[in-house]
Amino acid sequence: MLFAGRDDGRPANLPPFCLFTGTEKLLIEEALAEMEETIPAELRDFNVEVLDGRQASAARVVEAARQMPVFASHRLVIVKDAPYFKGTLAAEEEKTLTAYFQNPAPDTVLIFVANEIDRRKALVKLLASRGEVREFKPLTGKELDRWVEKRAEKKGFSLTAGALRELILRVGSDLTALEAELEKLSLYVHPRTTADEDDVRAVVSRTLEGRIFDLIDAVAAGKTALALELLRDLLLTGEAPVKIHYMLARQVRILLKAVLLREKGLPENEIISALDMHPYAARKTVQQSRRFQRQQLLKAMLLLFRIDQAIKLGEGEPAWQLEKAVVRLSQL
Amino acid sequence: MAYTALYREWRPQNFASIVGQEHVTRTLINAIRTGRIAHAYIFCGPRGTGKTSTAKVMAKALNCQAPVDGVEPCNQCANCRSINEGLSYDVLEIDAASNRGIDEIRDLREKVKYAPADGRYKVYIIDEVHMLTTEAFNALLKTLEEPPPHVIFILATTEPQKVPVTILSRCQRFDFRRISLADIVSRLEEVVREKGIEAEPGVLAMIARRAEGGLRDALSLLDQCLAFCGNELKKEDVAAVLGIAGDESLLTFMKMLLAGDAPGALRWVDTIFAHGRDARQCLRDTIYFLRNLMLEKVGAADVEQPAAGEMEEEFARLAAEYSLERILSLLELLMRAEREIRQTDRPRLVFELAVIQACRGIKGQPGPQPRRPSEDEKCAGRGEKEGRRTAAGEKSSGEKVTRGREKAVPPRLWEQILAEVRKRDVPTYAFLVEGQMIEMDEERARIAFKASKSFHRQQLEDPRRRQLVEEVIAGLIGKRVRVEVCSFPEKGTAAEMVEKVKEVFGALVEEVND
Repeated sequence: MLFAGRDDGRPANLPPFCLFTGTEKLLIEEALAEMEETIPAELRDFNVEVLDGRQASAARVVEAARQMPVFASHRLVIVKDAPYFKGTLAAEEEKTLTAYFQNPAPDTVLIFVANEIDRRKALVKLLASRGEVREFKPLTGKELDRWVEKRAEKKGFSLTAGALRELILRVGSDLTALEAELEKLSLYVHPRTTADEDDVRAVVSRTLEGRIFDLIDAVAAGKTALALELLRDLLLTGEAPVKIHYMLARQVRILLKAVLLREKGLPENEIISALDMHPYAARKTVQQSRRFQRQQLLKAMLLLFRIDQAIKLGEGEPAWQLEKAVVRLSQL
Repeated sequence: MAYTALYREWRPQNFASIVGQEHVTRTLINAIRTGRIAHAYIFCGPRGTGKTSTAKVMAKALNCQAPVDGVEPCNQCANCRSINEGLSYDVLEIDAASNRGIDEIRDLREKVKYAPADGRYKVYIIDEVHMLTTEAFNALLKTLEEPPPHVIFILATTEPQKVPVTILSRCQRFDFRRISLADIVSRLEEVVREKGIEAEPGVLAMIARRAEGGLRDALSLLDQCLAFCGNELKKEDVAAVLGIAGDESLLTFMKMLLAGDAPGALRWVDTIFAHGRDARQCLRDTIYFLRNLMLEKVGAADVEQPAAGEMEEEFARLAAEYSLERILSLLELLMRAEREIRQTDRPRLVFELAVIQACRGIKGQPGPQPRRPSEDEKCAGRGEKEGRRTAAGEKSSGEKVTRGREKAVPPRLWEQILAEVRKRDVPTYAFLVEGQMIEMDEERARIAFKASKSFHRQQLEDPRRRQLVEEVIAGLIGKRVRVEVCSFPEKGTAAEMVEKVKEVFGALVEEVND
């Protein structure tokens, strides 16, 4: 039968149109893949259409949506980088879309993907009331942990609690990056099926922030030689001295903030949230801050200020100025 | 047969011989074993740590017809051999530094489509990938987004932060580490043994240190040494080749500075000018020595070694003898002098002043001098710890008494003011400390700043800051005076220099001729 399944129409649990928004691209990709799975693999060629919103006009989108499915119960039209939901939109475009939202095709799921949207716009409100707006925000806290654990499981291994913490600390909450690092980690530990903290340290790339954090840790512990070694690593991988200097000053400033908040008598949890960083990183910073006195940090600020001056006045090699700064910081 | 450079001859041909990057090789081997090969890799790390070598080994492993143990390239089969000789159609090495434009990448994109000729995979190795232009990166990104299944990209870079995030996020990233001194030395030992070369003990470590964690550099240096020394590596010769034979006379100069031997050091300056040596270069070299002494002092000399043989011992001795503070402040002083010497048309004067400043207070200072601060820091004032700055302020305020028509400022008062201001507001202190109180009477206190510190002066013109200082003074002397901020009346440097010369030699100024 030529139009088999044609009369089923769109499954009841799917909206006629929806809008995926937010910055977490990987989650959006996953949701799109899930959507595609509602159509049997062999029929996707005919029933899934992907448009580039930067090029497709509203009329073109509606035209695609009005087409009928071939053999399948419904059709999927995905509009990536849809520009219609923020800023001003040509009246003609708006009219076309509004008309469609009021009277959508019965057997199409029209999905818009847009990084940013303006929820006050009439068009967005209409879409939300008749269809669905789904926001994909970066995961945080427990949600993030669970996501990582699930991903690792898929790859056939698991992480110890320490490894999980170290991984998120090093990579942050960017899921694409986490996915890549998990893949690498799983290969590194193979044929073992558990990864611990040391495994993470061995293969997972450290961010610049993280490397600066380690440097300050070495300074705090009075391990001057180690601190200089870490500085050398930064310089040899091409980090600009001025940037390293900036990052050092930034970390000192965050530490100072933590110390001042503690002096005010704030409990640890509040300090952690006041630092406005990822909880793991904030906790580490608060731990690090216990090793410093307020006076030391103020001196450190002043010292870094002078090093900054010296670098910019062109006094000797910037790298040597930084070495000197590290040695002086260790003496505070 | 043509001569092959050591680093090429000894380039690792399989995973097992890659030194010091176990975290990378192990992961790659497992990827091949389990068939989970990424479409794109990026190898980051300092130069000479094995990025390109690893990329080539990987390319061979992927295309080898009879891999040893399932993963290691055999280096015997036709594919391995053609890759080794750089003749393979499937493995393409591109140097992004010289092929950085969009045309090259477009060309690459065109050819990417074709299936591999002999092997299983087409491997593109793009070296120094951070050198690509933005357009080229964008073109590359398109390919990375949808790579044909038979293509694998291996990007290598020393500066990953210059690679766009969009590229990085498409690649499996590996960070290559600097190779440890011990690993380099043992590799060099291997080479030396194989070649039947005699090496004096310690020679290889000297070479290794200079290589800063890069094996290729180490091998190149060894090559150079062999070319110079023949089959016997002697410490002296190697030191000469490495350019660390060290200038005995510079070492002597540094020792005189550390010991505070002003007459000796000044005589030395005289000789270098008499011999027409570049004063600035001498200063730079001395700074380099001092910086290495600093590293030695804090136990980080492993990073680099300034000198060999006897000089090495000399450094250890000096590090033991002098305090870190002494070394650091001397270093700071000379670094500043090095800048000043660039900007002056009287390099000799600047040089000599620096020497004098460096030596002051080290010798012939009556009475107990627990720390030298006030001496070396009077001049090094900026860029120092607060404690010592106060001392500097005190001294200068005391000495300014004699200057011109200015009225006396009670000694120690300036120091007290600074200390008190610092307690109340550190930023204000930071600005104030660059100034000097040059005058004070019943109604007003004048604080002068050098012309170069006009920013600090402006900051103190802020009523709030000025008021704070007034309050502090009132608290100390029990009387409210008006604070006035001004610049030093004269052009600064010349008169200051006269002051400094006076401080050192205690001379009386008869007349100043400009």
